[in-house]
Parts: sequence; C-alpha cells; structure tokens
Amino acid sequence: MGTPSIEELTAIARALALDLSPERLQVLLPEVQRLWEAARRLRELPLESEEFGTRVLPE
Amino acid sequence: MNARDLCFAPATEIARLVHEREISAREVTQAFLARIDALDRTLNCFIRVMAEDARAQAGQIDEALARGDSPGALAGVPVAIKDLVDVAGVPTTGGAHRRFHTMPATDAPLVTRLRRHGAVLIGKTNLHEVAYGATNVNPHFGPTRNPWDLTRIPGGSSGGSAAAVAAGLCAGAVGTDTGGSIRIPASLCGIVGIKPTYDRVPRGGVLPLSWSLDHLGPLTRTVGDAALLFSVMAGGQPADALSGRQSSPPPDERVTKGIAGVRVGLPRTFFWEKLQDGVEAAVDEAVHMLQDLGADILDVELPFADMAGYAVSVIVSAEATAVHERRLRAHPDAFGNDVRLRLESGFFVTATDYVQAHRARALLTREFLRVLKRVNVLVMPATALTATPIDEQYLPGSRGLVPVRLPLTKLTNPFNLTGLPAISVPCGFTAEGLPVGVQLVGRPFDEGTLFRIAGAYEHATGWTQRRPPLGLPGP
Repeated sequence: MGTPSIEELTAIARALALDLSPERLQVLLPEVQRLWEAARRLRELPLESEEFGTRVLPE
Repeated sequence: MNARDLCFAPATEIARLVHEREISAREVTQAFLARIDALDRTLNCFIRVMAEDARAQAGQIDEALARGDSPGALAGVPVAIKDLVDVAGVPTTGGAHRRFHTMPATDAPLVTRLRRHGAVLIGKTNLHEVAYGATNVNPHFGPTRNPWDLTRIPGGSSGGSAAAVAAGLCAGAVGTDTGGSIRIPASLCGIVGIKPTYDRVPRGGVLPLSWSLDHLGPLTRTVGDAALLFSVMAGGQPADALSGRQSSPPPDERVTKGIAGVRVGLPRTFFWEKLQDGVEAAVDEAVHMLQDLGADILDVELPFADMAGYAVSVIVSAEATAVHERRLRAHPDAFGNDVRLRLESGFFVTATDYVQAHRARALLTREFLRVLKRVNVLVMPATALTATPIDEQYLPGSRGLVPVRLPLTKLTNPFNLTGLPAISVPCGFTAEGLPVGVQLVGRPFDEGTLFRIAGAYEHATGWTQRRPPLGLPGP
C-alpha cells in the first residue's frame, strides 16, 4: 500500500459505513497519509522471523 | 513554616510533620486549598477542586492520629488526580465534552491505595482532551498554563497534574502516559515524573487511550516523593496482566545512595538529534554531572529507535479509535478539532498494519533489552524542546508544518512502545527561564535504580528546589 488518494479514502469510508463527507475526507487526508507512511516505514523492519509476535514484555 | 513554604515542602516532609503532629492534616489541606483559590483561576490546573471532600479526609486522618492509629505513609499529603481516573462520587470528565462524563460508584484501585495510605485527594486535574495530545489546550475546559511562563503550554496530556505540582497547588499528582504524557509535562514544568514499567501500576478505573501503551505514574517535585508515591501505587492488582505478579515495593531507601560504578548508556544517535540549543546544553551538563558522581558513561546505539514513533502512531491510532468509536460515530461534533481528526483517521489503519506495528514492538523491545544488558540505565533528553506558546499548535518541520505533539513525543514514546520504566528529572533552564528535563530509562521492573540515580543527581544539583516566579498573589 502506498500513499492513499482521496478516491481510496472515499472507498474505504464507504465500506466502513463512515459518515464522512468529501470535504471531511479532504481534511483527514494528510493525517491518514502520515499514518500510512508510518506503516510503510515499519515494513522496512526485519520482521520475517516468527520470533516477532505480539508479546509485549519478556517473561 | 509559612503557608507558601508548606505548599512547596516535599510530600515526605509533609507526611512526617503530620505523623509527628507538628501540623494537622486539616491545616495542610487548608493551606493548599487557599493557594488553589488564589492561583488556579489563572493556571487552570483543576477541572474540579474537591474542597469539602479533602477537608473531610484530612479530618479523618487527624482523628486517626489522635486515636494513636497510623494513617499511612502519605498521611495528610494533598494529591491531585488526572481527570480520567475514577474517584467514587466525583464525575470523571476525561477532559471531554459533558455528554461523555461518567459518575463512578467506586474508586480506581490506585485511588483506593492512595486513600489507604493517608493521601488527601484534593481535586481532579485538567488534561488534553481524552489524553490524546501533548499540549493540554483543551476545547472544553480551556488551556492549562505553564507556571514558568503563563503564555506557554505545560505539556500534556497530564498537563494539569504537572502544572499543579510545579505551582505548589498539590504535593503530588497522578498522571497517565501513552506516548510521554507524564514525562513531557514533567520536563516542561520543571518537576519529576516517572512512567513505570508497563502494567506496574494497575489501570483499572481509568479511561483508556491505548491499552497496549497506557501507563500510570506519579508527578512530584522531588525524586524521593516520586519513589514514595510509586511505592503506594505499584504492584499487586490481579485484574491487570503484569502488575499482579509484582508485589508493592517498599519506599525506596536507595534514593539517597551513591551511583559510583553505575553504567549509563548514552544513545547519541536519534536521541541527540534536532535538539533545541538550551536543551542540548542542559542535558550535556547533566551527563557530565553523572560522570562526576562516579557513573561510567558508555556510548550505545539503540537499534531501530527511529522506528518507534511509527509503531506508536499506528498502534495508538487504531486503539484510540476503537476506544471512542461509538461516541465518535454518534457525536463527532462533541470532540475538539485535533482529537476528532486523529480519531477519524484511525479508522483508516488496516488490521495488518496494526499487527505489524505490534511485531515491530517486539523487535524493538528485544533490541533495547540487549543494550540494557550492558548498561544499567540509558540517559537522554526527555523532550527535544521546551514549552511552546499556547497558540502555537504547529511547528516548522523538514517537510512543512508538523503538529507540536510530534517533536514533543519523539524521545518519550520509544519507552511506551517497549514498556521500559523512564523518569524525567529537572536538569536546568534555558536562557528564557524555561525548564529542561533529563530522562533516565531502566530495565523492566527496576524503577529502584532510576530513583537511585535520579536521587543522587537531584541531591548534587538542586534543580528541584527552584520555584516558578508566578508573580501572582498567593499565600
């Protein structure tokens, strides 16, 4: 997934039954782009090992 | 001791005076209530002052002492509670629109503990709306002002708690910390704030923001007071995953011991980048002081530290939106602009991105723990900048304007992600007279070493003795 476009946001909002107007989606776009960029950066991490589950602290 | 000195006395000293009946809990409470009455219209630290309740609690403590009973380690100490923590019979606002306020029938477990140990609950403090932000500019209750400069933010989201402690309106306060919300306002207000190890303090009865990253802890004027409040708040709540396996630690006598031979890791990469000039100078000086006190300073690298903020963003966004989803869908207009924007954006985080962020969390935790096998603690600035003006919600970044919260949380949120205990301690002031905090980070469940090092540093420097020049009438 890359940087979302307004069309993608509109499609997702419709699928999730979010009551967000086109104008509101435009307002949200930069923040959602920031989140998707964060997620993209995380995919650069070496997370292939099964070792990295979702456990939060060492036993 | 006059009323002003009493309001700036350490909690440990207030408890001693009350225990030894040199002063009554009623007199202590009245002194703090009078100071709140004189100053809080300007500072706006409190959403609710519990004046009558506080007087009644103080009366019970005095009566217990008169009977020869011990009222506990916090006897008569006025403590403020961030207003997302339940206190029985007092509305919990969460700093939110009145539509979302609740009336709890019971105390949060940590509030029960504070009462059991003799604390006097003096009020509920202002916060960033639903704790989702770092400025404490609250659209429903107004901004809290920094006691060191009334035109500036106290930081947040526990900004009311921090400003109240800094201004001598309470002797200690409870805060929460999801990305830095204890340590940031502690740093910006010139006080001590500790985010303990994840789940060390029970989270029951607290409005969540992010179940994976939320922590509770104390804000105080001295390290010894932080150790005292922590000893009361921590451990032994079966309802929480990890706090149940740790017993409450005793008040930490190691605060007063030396630090010769302690190994302190210095992660200059990432944690020393883009610092405000005055911050860098003050924290460098703090590192030199630790060395002078006998600590061994070792350069270290914290792998993937620059990724922590990305993982925190994804996790908080998904979880905060899940927390508030029903309220948000039904009443979006009841949220302030910044919080509504962040909550609505959280709908667009995918499940796979959320899981990958948690896997990143496991990776970073493993890597940070490897470094902490070689050193006892890490040292770094608590915040990259000092308090910003209240009306300045964005700052220039490398790619345009960025919300103030991003540089404010940059150095604190890696330790929410990894769950490691971290304390902010005052380490000086900029040329403008704004406080700077140095952050120490320890091994899981080793808050004692943080108190020991922070206590030795505090004793050597005296920064925690400074009082803000409020320039306001007050007792």
